[in-house]
Amino acid sequence: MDTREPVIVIEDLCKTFGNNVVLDHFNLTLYRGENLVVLGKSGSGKSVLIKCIIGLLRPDSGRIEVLGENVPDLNYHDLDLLRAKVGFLFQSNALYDSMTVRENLEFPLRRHWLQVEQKEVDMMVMEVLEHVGLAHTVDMMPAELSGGMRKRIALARTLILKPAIMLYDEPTTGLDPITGMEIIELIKQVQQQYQTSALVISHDMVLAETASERIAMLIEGKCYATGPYAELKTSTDPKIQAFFI
Amino acid sequence: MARFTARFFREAFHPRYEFSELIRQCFIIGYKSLSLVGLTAFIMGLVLTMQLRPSMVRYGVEAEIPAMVGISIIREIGPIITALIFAGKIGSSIGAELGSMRVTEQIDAMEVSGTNPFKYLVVTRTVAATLMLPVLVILADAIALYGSYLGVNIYEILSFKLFYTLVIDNLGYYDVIPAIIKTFFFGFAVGIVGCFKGYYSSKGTEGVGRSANSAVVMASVFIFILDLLAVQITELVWNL
Amino acid sequence: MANRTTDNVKLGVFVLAGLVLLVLFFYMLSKNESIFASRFEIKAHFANVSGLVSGNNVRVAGIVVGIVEDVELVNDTLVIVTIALNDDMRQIVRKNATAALGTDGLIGNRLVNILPAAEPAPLIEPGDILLGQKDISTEDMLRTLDQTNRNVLIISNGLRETIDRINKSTQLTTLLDDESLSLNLKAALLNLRSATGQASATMQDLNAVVADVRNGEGSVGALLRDTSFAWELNQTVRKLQAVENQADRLAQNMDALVKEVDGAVKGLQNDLNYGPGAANLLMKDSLTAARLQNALGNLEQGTARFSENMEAMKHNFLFRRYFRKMEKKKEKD
Repeated sequence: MDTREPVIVIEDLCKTFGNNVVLDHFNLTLYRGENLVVLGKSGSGKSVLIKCIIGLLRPDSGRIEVLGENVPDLNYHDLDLLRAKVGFLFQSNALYDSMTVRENLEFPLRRHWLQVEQKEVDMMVMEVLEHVGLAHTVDMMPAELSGGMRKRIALARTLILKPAIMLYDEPTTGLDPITGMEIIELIKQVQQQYQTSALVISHDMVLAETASERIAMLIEGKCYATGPYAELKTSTDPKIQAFFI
Repeated sequence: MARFTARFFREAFHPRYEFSELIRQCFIIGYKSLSLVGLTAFIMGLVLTMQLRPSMVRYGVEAEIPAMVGISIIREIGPIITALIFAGKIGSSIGAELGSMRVTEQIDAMEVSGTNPFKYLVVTRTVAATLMLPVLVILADAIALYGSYLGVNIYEILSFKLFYTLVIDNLGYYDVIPAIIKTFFFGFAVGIVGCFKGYYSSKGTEGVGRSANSAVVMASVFIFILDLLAVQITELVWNL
Repeated sequence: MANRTTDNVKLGVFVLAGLVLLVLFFYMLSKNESIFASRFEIKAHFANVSGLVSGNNVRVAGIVVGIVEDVELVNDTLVIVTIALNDDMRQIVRKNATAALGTDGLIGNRLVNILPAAEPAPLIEPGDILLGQKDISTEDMLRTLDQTNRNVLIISNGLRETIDRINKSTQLTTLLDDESLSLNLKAALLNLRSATGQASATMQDLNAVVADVRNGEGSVGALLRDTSFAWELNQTVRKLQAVENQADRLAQNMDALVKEVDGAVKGLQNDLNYGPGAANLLMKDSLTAARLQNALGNLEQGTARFSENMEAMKHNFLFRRYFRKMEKKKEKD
């Protein structure tokens, strides 16, 4: 159906918390260079899905192949290596409160490549900061920044490792519509510049419309439907239509 | 909790070691607590002396005050009060810090950035607390004894040399060594309980407050239980 | 980064201060406890160590110079206490020193005092055994006190009887009136005198015999020329002479005594009948009699209180068993 190389392949993914079935034989494929938005209501298991992909949660069963490797089978070391190639933007940004912006950005660099020289680190930090347009905040604390700025810093922190795949966990949630638009633009820009594949999890229809090549609908733990925005919008299925109201 | 402690030991003895973070935590946990601990220790020594004095005078043994205060500070009050204050200050701050990091996904972020958050956060803080509390207790003991010296001098003139001879003469290794050893366990308890409560904090800002609070309560209770055990074990070991 | 460095320096100073304090502390304690000082062991024998345990201090001239290493009960009357003394005590403590149990202050820890003896002796060596002095234990004190109490009871009873007798002054008067007493004394004296006289005569006879023997007169003399026998005989004679002398002195003393008693009795009779005097006063003065009566009353009261105390003690839970046992024993007897 698509000639491009798949970077994430999810097959029969199941995850339950107690009696609560969150993901029930979920299937999804992300291709190289693609921007895929996973839409779902709150509590439908979007965050669980993305955390399974990055290995923060262990699925009960099923395969998650990221860049050809099955995530649940990886040991800690290999998982680290894989994670260096996958950027993850947290819903709450997850900037370290006790560190300055610079230290926040340096943190993953130092962690993944301990041998990097200080000069090089400084350069990379400034580069990504300029890219998100916040070079002046380099010595500020995260608490001094606005929500939108924090989101951008968080994005810069994931970009600094030049990932092949970006995972966005509700990137526009909690931001005003204008700032949300800025972030959406930034996501698109990042994709062009760094040639990344992106999996975006959201319930923001604006984001789905403007930033996605393809949309996957997560309903009742299953991948209910996939397709471009326009195609899904014209669907007659009431469950799909419910998103577009 | 037991599994958490077991994991601590598993992770603590395997590379990689987060040395620079450990030093930073030692600074925050140890050095930054010194002023608070020092102040309370000073007041403790002073007040203890002044409170003891009337009953000692009644029995005509006010000359024994330095010996008595010395023994009680070194053996029990210094370690336990310092540990409780430490639990209040450090236990709550670790609980709140880790709790908020958990809530705002910073712990997850760390894991994604190729860092074992358990090593980076829990091991460093627990080790720092374990190592720093004994240092604080030693300093607190010295400060409390100085406070006690001033307390004695409110009523009578006593040379510092005599005071310290009286204190030291009535102390032995039996008093000092177990008292120092137990503070390592107190420190460990404060660190590990704070980390445990923070690390498994429930979602939401309320969870952060709760983990900070319960970290202090649980750590304090643990300190008393450990103190009780320490007395028993000391008696046992020293009489072998 | 510069901030980080100053922080690290502060931390270093902080930790170093703690460590230095700790080392200083241990150093001061080591002076105190001298765990590192080399020591030598001696032993002391006690019958009872009254709660001495290993680790108690050992003092010489009031200075702590060692500790009790071990307390070992060997049999029911011997406890061997092993004492570790600082090495420098080898130049100070002597072999004939004694070990005494003591207490630090009024209610402090038990300790061993090593006391020097007056006589000179060589310096102590490892393994020497010191004799332990008996310690006064509270138990012993209580037992003695009990005995004392009983004695007081007996004495007060006796005193009461005596005073009762004095009160019935007729007896005393009879005693004082009795002339037969002095007469009897005189007779005894006379007997003694005659006895002395007889002893003297015997002596003279014996002397004559001995002289005869010496000169070798008579068959007995020939038989007894042996010098050893003569010497023994001589010895006997001398002893007899000494006895005689003593008897003589006794007799003289008795004579003097009799005279004195005679004089006293006469004087007393005189006083009693005619003039003022101590005895008269004692017997006739109503004030003194009242005082005497009063003292007697006090004594009685004291005795009553004392028996009350004893009764209370009987009911005291500590002593109850002891007294009950005593009662049972009495019933049996």
